[in-house]
Amino acid sequence: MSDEQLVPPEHPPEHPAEHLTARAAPAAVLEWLGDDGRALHTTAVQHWPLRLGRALDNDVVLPDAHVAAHHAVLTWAGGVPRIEVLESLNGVQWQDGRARKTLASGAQQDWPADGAGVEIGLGRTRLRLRWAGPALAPELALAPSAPMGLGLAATLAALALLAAVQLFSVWLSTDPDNWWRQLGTTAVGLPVVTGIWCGIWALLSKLFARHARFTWHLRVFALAGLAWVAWWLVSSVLAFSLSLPAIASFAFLGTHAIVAWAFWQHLRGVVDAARPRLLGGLVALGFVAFVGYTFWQHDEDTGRLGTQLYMSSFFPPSWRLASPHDAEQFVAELAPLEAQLAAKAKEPERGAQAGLNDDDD
Amino acid sequence: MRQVWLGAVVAGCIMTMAHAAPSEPAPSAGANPSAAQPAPPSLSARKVYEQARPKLVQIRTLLKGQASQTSVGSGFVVSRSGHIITNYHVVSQYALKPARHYLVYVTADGREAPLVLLKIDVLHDLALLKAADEASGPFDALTWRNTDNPLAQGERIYALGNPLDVGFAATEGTYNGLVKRSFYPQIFYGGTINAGMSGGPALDQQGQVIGINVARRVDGEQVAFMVPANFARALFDAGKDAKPLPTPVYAEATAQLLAHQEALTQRFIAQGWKDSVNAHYRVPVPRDEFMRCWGNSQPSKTAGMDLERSDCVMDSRIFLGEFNTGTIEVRHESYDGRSLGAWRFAERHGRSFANESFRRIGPEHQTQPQCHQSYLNRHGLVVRAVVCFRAYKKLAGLFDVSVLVASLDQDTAGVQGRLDVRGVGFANGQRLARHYLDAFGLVAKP
Repeated sequence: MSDEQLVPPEHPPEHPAEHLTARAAPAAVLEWLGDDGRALHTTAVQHWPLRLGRALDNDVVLPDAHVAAHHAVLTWAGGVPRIEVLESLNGVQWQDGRARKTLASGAQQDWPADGAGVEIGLGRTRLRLRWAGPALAPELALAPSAPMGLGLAATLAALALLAAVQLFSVWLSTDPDNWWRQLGTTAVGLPVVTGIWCGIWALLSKLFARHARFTWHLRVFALAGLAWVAWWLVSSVLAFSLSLPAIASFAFLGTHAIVAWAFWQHLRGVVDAARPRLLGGLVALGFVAFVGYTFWQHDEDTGRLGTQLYMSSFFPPSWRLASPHDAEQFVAELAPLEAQLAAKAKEPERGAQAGLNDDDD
Repeated sequence: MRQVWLGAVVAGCIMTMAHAAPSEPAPSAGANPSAAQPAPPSLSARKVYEQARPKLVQIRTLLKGQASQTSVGSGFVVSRSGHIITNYHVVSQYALKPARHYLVYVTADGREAPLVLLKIDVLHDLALLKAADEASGPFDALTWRNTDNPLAQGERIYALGNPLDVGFAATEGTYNGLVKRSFYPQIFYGGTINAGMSGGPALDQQGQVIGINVARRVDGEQVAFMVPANFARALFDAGKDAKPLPTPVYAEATAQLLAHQEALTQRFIAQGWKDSVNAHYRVPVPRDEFMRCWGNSQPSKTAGMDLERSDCVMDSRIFLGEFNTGTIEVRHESYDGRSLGAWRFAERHGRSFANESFRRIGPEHQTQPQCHQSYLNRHGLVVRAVVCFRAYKKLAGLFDVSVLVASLDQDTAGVQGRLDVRGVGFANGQRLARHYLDAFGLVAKP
């Protein structure tokens, strides 16, 4: 742990004989754990046995009302630490991974040889014992690896590109006489929106991971923004050029996927996930659930799964690659709609309310 | 909608023109004494009203179990056995939802009795009813004006009914001939008709029926409409011996709408298109036989896209009770985006193409639309074409069809068109789509 430090024991040994015994034992530290499992501070174990309790004559005094005066004793036995529970109402909570049990008064329990991860609970105090035997876990990175290996320069380039795309989009939808006014609004609004979005995520990172990781969230924002624009452009151009309206109608699936990816990356920056696959799985599950909900909502509202009743993204005429159809054939191809609609007309409308109008698009 | 039907009564103005009228024996319906006898002397409005009063009724649609009225209109007796003519829209709630409603008539002297529905004519907005208390007969009936004796424009005529549920009344106005560009003939009445007078008779100065009050324009003064009496007379002849109509009347209405869409399709295709209205494109704009076209021009104020627009709509529409159908609309917009450049123009062209509404009447009445789309070459012009159909749920075999067309030949200019047909058979929907698509093209260069 980065903030790990060794501190002197609260109480010097009272019995010289015991002190001499401790010299032969391996060095160990007792870690005091917070609610999130992080070690708040450590106590160096200078000798065995080590007495734990609320009374002042213990080696380690536990300021906990749920701890007995002399609660437990740690000894070194057979190459591993051992705990013996003394007279105690609550005993000792033993947690080795997912295995949990309560050690009652008089019980003894040896640590496994590689069991430096065992946590013990005395009252409401959680402790972990580490000694020299078990191998140390590898050092953790301060931040997750950059998404898609994007460095700072590339991040800034991506942001600049995103800003340019956004300005182009505003230019596209603004009449010439309004362009400069809109440019000013966008030039101010874009950094503000970016700052607020990334700032909120950075705040969450600071809260849960103790590091703001603003640039991490900026990278995620830039990449997701560019991916969204690229996806919109590709899907719209393909739909227009090849006359494939289904692409435009179901483009929201790609958008949802990009949003889910961005959400996952932002979350990676917020929590130090002990199980990154689990986090990814949860986000994937959320994506699937949201797609399912979207399908259901579209079906309820419009009776179809896609978003668009018909394709309406236009590009310059020269971008059209699909050949025009014969009008006679086109009209003849309408015929199957008659039977389909006649069947629909016989279905009771779900949730229909008489007199209510609705707009399909 | 600028034209409104008059069945629904709203609180508001008060008209006072009621007079006691003696009851007079009337000849049986269908008989036309004027054809056999010399024309009676012209009567004043007062005389006309006094003569007609015992033959006028108010038609009330009441909620079952509550005996409270949901709508009121007017009607008039046309036979001694108690046949009554009114508008279809006056009784449409009962006709479509008989489980919730029932009909009664109320005479000028306050007598109330039940009614049965014998026949409907949704195309001309007429209904034939019959008094269910035949023991109260024989009834006094109004007579029809002879069709061989047409009215002259400017002649004085009278509209009678029970406006706003405040009492029977007559209004005086002029006969202005038939409404121009109406799909079905309607009398243009230069006088006042108020809500609640729907289904009431329009009488000439001899007190003979020339029409049935049906609608008025809300954007004008004293511009009202009447159904010519010959349609009511035909309905009476066809239905006077009929048994009460099975309700709801969707099957009967569907049969009439199928006939209507057949006639509408044929007339629309037969009338053809106007000559080219655009310097570059051939764009379909229908002739004005039964449609009105309105246009406007919108130059951009921000150096953007200049727009010209044309909307062609029918004034006539078939009111079924819960919605209108049986219409055709044609519109187009042409765009000039030379100041924008190709990219910006393509963006606006697409945005405008996307900004099309497909509002449906209601989920209980129509399915969601389903579309077919492709690029088409129309006489040298490449267009994006979309055809969408939606089915009526209670009018089997009828559909709404919309055709969207966008030109894709110029970088900075284009045209978009839309055809909407409501209440059409599928085959005729295809015919109309083909007819519309075929009208696009490029203007031949001299």
